[in-house]
Amino acid sequence: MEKIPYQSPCAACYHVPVSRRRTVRGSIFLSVSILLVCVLIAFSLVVYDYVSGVARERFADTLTSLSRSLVTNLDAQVAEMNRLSLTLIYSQVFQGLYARHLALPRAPVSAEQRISKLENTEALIEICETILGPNRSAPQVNVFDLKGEMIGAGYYSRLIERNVTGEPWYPAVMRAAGERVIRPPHMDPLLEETSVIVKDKRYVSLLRTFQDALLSTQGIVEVKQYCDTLFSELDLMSGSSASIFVFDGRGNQLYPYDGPHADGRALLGLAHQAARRPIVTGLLPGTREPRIFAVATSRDTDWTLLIGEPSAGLAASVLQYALRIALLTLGAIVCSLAASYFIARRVTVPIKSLHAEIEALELGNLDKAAEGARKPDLGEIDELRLAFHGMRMKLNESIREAVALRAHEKEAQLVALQSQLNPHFLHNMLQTIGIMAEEGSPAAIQDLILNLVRVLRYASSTEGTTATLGTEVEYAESYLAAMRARFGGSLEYVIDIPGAMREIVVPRLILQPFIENCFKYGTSARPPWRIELRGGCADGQWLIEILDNGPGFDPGTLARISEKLAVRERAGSGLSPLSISGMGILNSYQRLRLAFGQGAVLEVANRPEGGARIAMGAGFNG
Amino acid sequence: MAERKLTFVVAEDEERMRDYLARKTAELDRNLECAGTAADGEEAVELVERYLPDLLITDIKMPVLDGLELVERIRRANPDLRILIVSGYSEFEYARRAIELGVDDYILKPIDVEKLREILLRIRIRLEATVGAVDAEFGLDRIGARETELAKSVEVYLQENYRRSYSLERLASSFGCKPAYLLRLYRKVTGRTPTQDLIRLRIEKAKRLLVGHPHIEIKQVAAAVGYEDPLYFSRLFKKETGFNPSAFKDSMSRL
Repeated sequence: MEKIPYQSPCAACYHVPVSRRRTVRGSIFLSVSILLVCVLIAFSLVVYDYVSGVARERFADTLTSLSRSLVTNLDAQVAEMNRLSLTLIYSQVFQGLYARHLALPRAPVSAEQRISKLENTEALIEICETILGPNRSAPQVNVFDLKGEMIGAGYYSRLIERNVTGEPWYPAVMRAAGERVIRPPHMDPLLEETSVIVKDKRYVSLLRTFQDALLSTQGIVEVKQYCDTLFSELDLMSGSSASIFVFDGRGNQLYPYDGPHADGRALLGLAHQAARRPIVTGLLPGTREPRIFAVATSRDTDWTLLIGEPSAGLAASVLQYALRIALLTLGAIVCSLAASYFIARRVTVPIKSLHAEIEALELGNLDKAAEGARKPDLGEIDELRLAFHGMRMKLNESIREAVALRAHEKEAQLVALQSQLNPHFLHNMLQTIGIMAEEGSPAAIQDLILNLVRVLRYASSTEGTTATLGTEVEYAESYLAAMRARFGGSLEYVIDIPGAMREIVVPRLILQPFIENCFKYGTSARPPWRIELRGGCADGQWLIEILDNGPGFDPGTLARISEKLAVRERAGSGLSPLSISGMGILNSYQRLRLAFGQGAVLEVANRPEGGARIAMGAGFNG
Repeated sequence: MAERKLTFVVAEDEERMRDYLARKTAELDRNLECAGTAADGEEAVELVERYLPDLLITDIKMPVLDGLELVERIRRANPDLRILIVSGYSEFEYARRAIELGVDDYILKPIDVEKLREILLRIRIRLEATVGAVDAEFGLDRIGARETELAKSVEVYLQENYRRSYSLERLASSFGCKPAYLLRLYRKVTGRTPTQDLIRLRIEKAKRLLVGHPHIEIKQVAAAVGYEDPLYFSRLFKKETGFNPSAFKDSMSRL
């Protein structure tokens, strides 16, 4: 048993989506191309059909009208011969002369008789020649009597013995009883002998009987015409590719008169078909080349003219059209492919560049503006790009905000820890505890240690990033109480925060920098130092004031703070170096901004009565 | 020089610590006596000029004038003053500046009492070895008529100019001598320092104003006797007389 190489189904599964994956550009190109090519091909087929129909029709028209004109020409020729014969037999002179001819004995006995017969014959020949005219519209006219004599005029002008009853056409002519009978092309031995000019010629004769007044048949008149002359128009066509056949009513081939005799029955079959349809396609007997035939039948002569053009001619002209159309179609397809390529490109290039932008997106370059001068794309893609840009900016903004929030929280904690775990603070506190121990005041020590523990625990806690204002104030109170244990009567503080405000949720450790600030700058003046923490609400806003009675901010510091605040105001909630000479004021403000948005307020000023005033607040809804 | 106790001044802004330092120092070395305590640098300058102590114990971080600025201010006029810095800061920069200013020792908070005892002992030994050396240097061991005359004229000058803001440097230069010399000469001749006399003059004048013009505000009284800071004046007044200026005024008017 032959082993079939095993193909992992998983591998197949894996490959399918990959091979199926199509780019937008590819599918746009493909679908537009297919659509265009289909439309173009359908269009060209319709055009081809129409054009070839038209060509075919025109071809048939040409062929038909040609055959008609040829037949008309033949009719005219035959009519001319007919006219000659009729002119002769209805001529009085001829009738008189002919009656005399019949009256004269066939073999004259007397000299007088011989002379008169000779004269009469001469006169008959003359009248015949007169009727033929100077142009010799027919080369020969023969008059047969039924007694065995024939008078010829034209090239052969004399009287000879000729028993007309022996002629093959005699019965037919007699049956026709005065009507014309056309004798198909034939050679004439008499004329052959007479002149080299008419050697090897073929003739068509028009024969008819004529009667006397008593309607008894007197004789037969024959008008001969050269086949060359009769069919001269047809001969003119012999140079072309057309093949022409003429048959009489009995199926005799009249033309070509000296060519091969075609299979008349087959051709007549074609002719019968052609009688019902304008043109017919068929094979010439003995050939393989298909031809298109047109047929015209003369009513006068009962002749049928069959003209056949090789259908290759039609095919060639149609082919020429088809070639032109094909070329046109090909050109159009190429153009449309190019167009669809450019359409696909136009659509996909911006998509690609968008893709590249998305690919290149990193945390670091979120805020990088998209490459500036980009030529305007398609509307939708522009919108997409704008939307993407907006999203990018928003993302950047929110990441920055989140990072800033985290950083500020961390920093606030760091600032608080730094100030509370800094050796100076701790050393002073421990020193104070030591002194208290020596003084023997354990209650004060307990209080101080409790306050210190609260302060340190709050500052070092990592639980949550927000707190109620109440908690913050308690923390500040513990801190102030601890400080008071150190400074004693030199330090006074007032805390006045309405109970309603204590529930407001604020960023944790937001008050710390302000209290810290009081000690840093406020205590450089002579004691007593007074620190006030006051809160109030108005117009949907809450506000906390931190006041001290120290020397206030020096003008330089105040200006620097205002400047930084203004910068921050413009820059929004960015992350930037925070501390002004170690102050955490800006940090608090930024966190306030991040938490409360535009409603956040920070005022830093000196009080008119001396000391610094820092106020911060925000809207209640924040 | 066993005839007089060695004196020291404490400068420290934390009340509890200030008292502790004064108490502990006196306790650790019975030969040391606290001449006064100051809550800030400026008070300390005044105390030093007033009592010419042998030792200054000072904190670094203080309102108005910090410890190092204080040392800088008084160093020229008191080359023989021993200085001990007590600080919570152990930064090198502070230590460097302290050494530059000729500080004798530097002790960190919280205070190790044994260490403080050692340092005080070392300082006292040094003090006893050098006591009177400055007097000898300025030739003050023998006072002549000329020196007495100079001290007297300074005394008169102070009596006439107590209202004006006082500076030892300015006083010395207006008499054409070094502050350290003037300070010691004055004390040698009168037994007091110019600052002591000045404060006494000012307080006396203030008392008279308070009694004689009860409608005058304390602030105006302070300004009239040469103190721009009425709070400081009040504290000083209380220290000198045992009464707040307002309390003094009330008690006097009731009489």
